Formats: sequence, structure tokens, C-alpha cells
Amino acid sequence: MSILFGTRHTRTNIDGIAKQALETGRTRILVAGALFSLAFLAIGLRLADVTIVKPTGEPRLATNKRTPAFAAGRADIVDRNGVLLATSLNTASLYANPRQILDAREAADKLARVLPGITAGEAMSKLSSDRSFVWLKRHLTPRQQYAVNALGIPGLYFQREERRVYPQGKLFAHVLGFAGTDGTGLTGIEKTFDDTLRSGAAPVRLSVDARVQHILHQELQAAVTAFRADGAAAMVMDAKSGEIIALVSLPDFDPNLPNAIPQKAAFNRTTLGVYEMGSTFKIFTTAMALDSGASKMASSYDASKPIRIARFVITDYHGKNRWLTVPEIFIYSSNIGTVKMALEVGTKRQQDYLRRLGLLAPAAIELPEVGSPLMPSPWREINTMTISFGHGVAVTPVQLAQATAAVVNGGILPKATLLKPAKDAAIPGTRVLKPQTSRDMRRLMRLVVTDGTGTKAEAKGYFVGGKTGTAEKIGARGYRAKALVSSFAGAFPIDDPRYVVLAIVDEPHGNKQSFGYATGGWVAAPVIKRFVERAAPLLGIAPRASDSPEVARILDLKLPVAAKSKTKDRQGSDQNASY
Amino acid sequence: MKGRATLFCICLAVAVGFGLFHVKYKVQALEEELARLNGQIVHEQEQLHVLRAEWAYLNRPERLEDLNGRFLGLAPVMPAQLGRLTDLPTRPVEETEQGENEETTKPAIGAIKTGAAR
Repeated sequence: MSILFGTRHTRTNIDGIAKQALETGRTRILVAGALFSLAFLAIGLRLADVTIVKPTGEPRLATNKRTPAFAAGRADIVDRNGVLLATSLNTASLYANPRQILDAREAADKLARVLPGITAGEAMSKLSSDRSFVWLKRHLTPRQQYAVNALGIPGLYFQREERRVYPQGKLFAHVLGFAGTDGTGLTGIEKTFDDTLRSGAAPVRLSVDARVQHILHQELQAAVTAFRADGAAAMVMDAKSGEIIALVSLPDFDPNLPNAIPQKAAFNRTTLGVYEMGSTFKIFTTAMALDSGASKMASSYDASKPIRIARFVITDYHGKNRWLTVPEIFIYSSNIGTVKMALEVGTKRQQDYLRRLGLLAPAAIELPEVGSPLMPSPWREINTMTISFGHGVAVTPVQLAQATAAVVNGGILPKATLLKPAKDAAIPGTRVLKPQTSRDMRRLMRLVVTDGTGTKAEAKGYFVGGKTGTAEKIGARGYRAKALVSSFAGAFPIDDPRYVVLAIVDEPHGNKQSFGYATGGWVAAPVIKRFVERAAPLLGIAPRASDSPEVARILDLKLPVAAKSKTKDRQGSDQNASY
Repeated sequence: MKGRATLFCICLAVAVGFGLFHVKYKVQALEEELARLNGQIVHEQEQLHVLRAEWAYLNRPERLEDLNGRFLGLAPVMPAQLGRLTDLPTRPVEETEQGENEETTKPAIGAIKTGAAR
């Protein structure tokens, strides 16, 4: 600037043009300077703004958005204690590009050595084909994959695939069902909850208990083997909530090998099979007679003569040939007496009670395999008579268990379920019987085990109560006396039932130990005894002394014996039956 | 003065540049480490999953029963083997006094021994 001004002083006489140019230059410098200062000022202000006034930049703690999650595919299924019942594993499947194989013979020999189930010849023919893709073995174990990798053969590749695995094998075959190779549930729980399982969320928690299931499976299998039976079904149900703790249907299958399931084994006898239950049905006939007021505990009926109706003759298996009281009819399983009780209840009320007990509609259980009960139409008096002792209506074992639960638990019909309910969830159920009826029925069911046909079900200290049943199966020409369905339906401890237990053996054959008998008392009752003895400690039920006063108070019932001379006001029903 | 300021500025620029690249590479290395760890987590979760399946398989009641039969020989609990605390009889009072009189040094053990012997 001093130079500029100096020049100006020395050259005062400078001409106008030069002076104007100088002025222009000065203005330009001034404008440019002002602009720059403004720009720097703006930057400075912004700098101060972001650093001092409101520092919004980097957060103090970095967050990782890519939280890794292992994609498990189909969700797990676990039992009530969290034991894994079904899971999906990523496995490696081995395939080859035969065009890249250098020495097919050598590769085939090596593969046959490390992979079981592959012969050298088989591998050789695959590896020497002129295709560019050939499967060698699906679903290798990690160890096999390592072994194949260690061979170092070029041209072999692995494809990751998902495979459904059932670690418990056969144990839960009929509960879980199985999923196909494409990961779609085809039967059982796998089918019912296919969508939930596919979405891969939390595991599905079932109400079953793997330990209890194992014991029931083993004892039932033992009975099937001992009596050379066609099959069998058994279940354990929580008497109050209807949760199914164990469910076994024999014969069963290994869901890990879904391609090798015989049709007979795939059939779920507990929920799909319908059976005429025989005398086990007397539980409901007696309950409805007591509940409706048609009979009292002290009522007695003439069971001395068989009932003839149309072309049928109704006789007693364990005939006493005299007047019997209601408890006697129940514990000696008198058909004649039960028929007379049912006739007093009447056809209409019998239907009502059976419907209310859920025996005339399919059970609402979470399995796709649910059988519809069979019932007569029209429902005549002869049907009322036969149904009273369990012939004429065929129901599934799960319906029977549900209805038995209602009879023993105080009269509330629970909903059979395979899912474990939330801890404080309300238990759905409808009242179907009076509490007093349930109390009387529990006493009667205990008497069956202490004094009647079910003595072989007595598990000392656990107070089993129940009813035996032996039904003849329908063949091509009426009932077949040699083909039986032997059953036991009961509960324990019967003074305050926690669990309903049920065992049904299809077509058992008597053996030496049972002196040739194949009835419910000889075949199914011992299964219950052995099961209860082993499983009760696991289920948290403490054994009590057989003279325990608390039990005696609830169950005390002396067996009233009907006096022969006793005149009864039941003449009407007697005539009804004496065709 | 001017020269020194310039030098200072240049040094500062170099230092800041060096620092920037240093941080950048460090972040890159950390990101790689993170990706590797994430991969490892997924891998180990998968292995856990396999091991859980194997655990369930090896703990099948069927297999445990077989192993028990071969090595332990435990039998199911029978009702007679179960008892309640309230079923235990209370120890008579004079018993304790006797024990204390006999062995003042180890009264507790003495009492337990007499208890066990009865």
C-alpha cells in the first residue's frame, strides 16, 4: 500500500485513464477481500457451531448394527422341561463334478473307505458318468465331511442343506410326526404348527415330558411283546389342565427315517384310532346315573338273569347272579346291572351326558390326526343298553382320557392339549358333573383297584383308581370273541387326582403269566401299576402309607352288598329288559 | 517469524495427516476384526446348535437306561425308599444329656454316633 500511495504522490500529474484503472483495481481487491472474509467468517462460525455450540458428530459409543444371528431355519420343538425333541441342523451334502475327477477308480475306492453306505462300485459308476453334477451322499456328519475333505480329491464339492433331526428317535414319533425333505411338516405337531416352526422364531414348547414318555413307552411295549398284541395306545394327562404328559401309540416309527415308515406304524392310535372301549365306558354310565339322580350309591339292581333283547343276550363276564348295589355293579363290571342303570337314565339323557363329556365330537387336540367318534343313528333303546357298557359308540383314547379327567377332577371337562400353557394362564374347562358325583366316582374307581377287576393296577402308596375294560372287536360277521381291546382308564392319586392314565392294548393274546386271560385287568392294569410306580416320583407325587388317615377320610367306602330278599322299586326297568 | 509459522503449519498438517491415516487404518483393522468375530460367533452358534442336538441324543432316556444297566445298576425309586422329614422321630432328651456327660470334648459326634447306632 505504501508503494501504491508513494507512486500516487510522485505522479500527481498522472493522466485520468491510469488513475481510473487504479481505482478499479482497488475496488476489486476490496470486494474480493470482503468476499473472502465473509466466506472465512461463515466457515469459522459453522466450525464454532458444530464443535462448541452443538457437537452432534460421532456418538461416544459405537453400536454394531450387524448383530450376527445364526439362521437356524425351522424352529426347535422342546418338551415341558426344555429337552430338545426336534431341531434343524445344517448338514453338508456331497456332490461331484465327474468331468473334473482325474482318477475315478481311485476316488471311488477312497470314498467307499470313509463313507458308510457307499460301495466302491456304486461310486465308480457315478463318478465315471459324463454328467457335470452327481449327488454322492446327502447329509454327511461333520466327521464324515472332515474325512472327505482330508482325502483331497479334486472335483468333489459340498452343498449346505438343512435337515430335520429328532434326537429322541422313536419316542415321540406320534406326537411330533415328521417333516419332509423340503422342510414342510407332514404329520403331527410338525404339521399343525408348520407356519410357526417355519418362521424360525422361539421353540415350540410341548406339554409332554420325555422321561415320563419313556417309561410309558417302555411299559406299554413290554405289554405288547408279552401278549403278542396287534398294537397299543397309552397316555398320561394332567387331570385338571388337560395337558398331555405322555402319549404313546404302538407300533411306532423313527421320524428320522420318514421314507421307511410302514402304514400300520404311521397310524396314531391315541388320537386317530376309534375303539369301542367296553367296560371302561361304565365310568360314564355310572357317573351319569349318579349325577342325574337316576341311581343312588345304595340303589341295587337284579343282575341274576341275563337280559335278552332282540337277538342279543346281555350277560355278565364276572357273573354274581344276584342283586347288586351300584358299587358292586361297578367293581364287578356287571353288564346287566349297568344296562339297568342306563335304562333309568334314559336315551335322551345318555346322549346329553356323553355329548357334554366330549365323547360324541372329535377331540380338539393340536394334531392333524384326529378321529371322529362313531355312534349309532338312530339311537334306539338297544343302543342305549349296549352303549352303557361300551359297545355301540367308538371313541378315540384321547376323548376317553379327557372324559375320565372330567369324572375324577371334580366334574370339569378339560381341553386336551399338547402345548404347555403359560404359567398363569386360565385353564379352560366346562363343568359337566356335580362335584359330589366326582367324589362318589373316585371312591368307586378306588374300589375297583382294591376289591374289583383292577387289582393288578395297584401301585402301593400311590392310590390308583380306575376301571378295566375288555371289548370284543367287530369283525366281518359281528363281534369276534377272540379279538379283544383290553383297557384300563384311571387316575392317581385318586383322593385328589393329579394325573389321568390310560392304557389300551389292541388284540392281546393271553399268555402263561396271565393264565390265558387277555382282559383289561390282566393286560392293561399291570401296565398302569408299573408305570405309576416308576413315574410317580418323577411327577412329584410322594407315596403315602396305605392306612393314611387323610386318604381314608376321602375314600372310605364300605362295599355295600345287596341283600337278596331286598324288595326293590325297580320293577319297571326289569320288565323293560326281560324280553 | 513468518518462516517459523509456515514450518509450524506444515508440521501440523503432516502430523494431522499422519494421525488421520493412522486412525483410518486402525478402524479398518477393527472392522475386519469385527467381521471375523461375527463370523466366528455365527460359526460357534451353529456348533452349539449341533452340540445341543448331540447332547439331547446322548441323553435319550433309552440310552441312559442302558448305560445305567451296564455301569451303575440303579433301580427305580420304590415308595419304601421315600420318607418325609416329619416322619423322623425326634431324639429323646435324656440321650443328649448322656452324650454330653460321657464325652465333653466331642459331644456332637458322640450324639450322632449313638443316634446312628439305634
